[in-house]
Amino acid sequence: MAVNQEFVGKTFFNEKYELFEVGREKVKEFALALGETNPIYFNKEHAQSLGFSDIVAPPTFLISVAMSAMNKILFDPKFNLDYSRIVHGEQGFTLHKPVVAGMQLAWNTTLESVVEKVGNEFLTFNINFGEPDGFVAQLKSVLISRGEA
Amino acid sequence: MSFEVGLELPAKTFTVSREDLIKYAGASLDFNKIHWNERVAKAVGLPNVIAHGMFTMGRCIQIVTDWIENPAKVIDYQVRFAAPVVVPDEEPGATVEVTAKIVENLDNKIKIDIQARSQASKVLGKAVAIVEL
Repeated sequence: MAVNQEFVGKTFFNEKYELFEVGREKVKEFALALGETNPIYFNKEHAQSLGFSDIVAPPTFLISVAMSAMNKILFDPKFNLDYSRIVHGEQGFTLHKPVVAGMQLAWNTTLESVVEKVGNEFLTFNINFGEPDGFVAQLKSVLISRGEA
Repeated sequence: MSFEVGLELPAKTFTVSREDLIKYAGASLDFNKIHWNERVAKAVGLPNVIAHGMFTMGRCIQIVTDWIENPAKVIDYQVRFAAPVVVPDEEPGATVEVTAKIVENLDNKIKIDIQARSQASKVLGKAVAIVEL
């Protein structure tokens, strides 16, 4: 089952109502799920004493938004993907500024390529995050759609 | 604090249980059934439930962030997932051992190579973090 190549090169932007607010409780939940204990993730006063406006998100936090961004393609029925056959191949984060609670992030995602290798399809996505005054982060995700063989 | 090339960061070991994966699914919004449903995982040819690659990635960077203390200093982090972390139903689940070493020190930035193993398999291929000092 091959995915629909017509999606390659297409860029999807967040709708206005989908601006992502980095929620303080979501940051805490994400940090807790990773077993974090550093107060920079949980205690606003502590984060402020280090010069941040609010608690700081763990380095991989933006994956939670990137998932919603990629889902615009992955779960489009026309894309023709069986999500249970997906595993993660590669992931990259380039952070231009610290992600802190209260930020309002716009995002876009592009399916850069779909490459078949020995029956598996490698889907490469680029996801950009920004604030009105500039880039916040760039993520690269390679997802592998495992073949039936 | 020393940032010399070749410096090994304090090693870490963590466990991954099914419960950890359910919590991570909710926190990260990745509800792929292969991370919590053994029947579905096996039906698609996996040995058992596997950890989210992102859970492993998120835990492995702690070798750096716990050492540097300010996680916002991590400005770049890239990994390739070499093998899945297979998570059995029995507690405490899977165990992952993490080591890391400074491989470059340039212009106030250090590059750190991270290695992670579970059940003798290398679970991360190339895993590199850049820390701004």
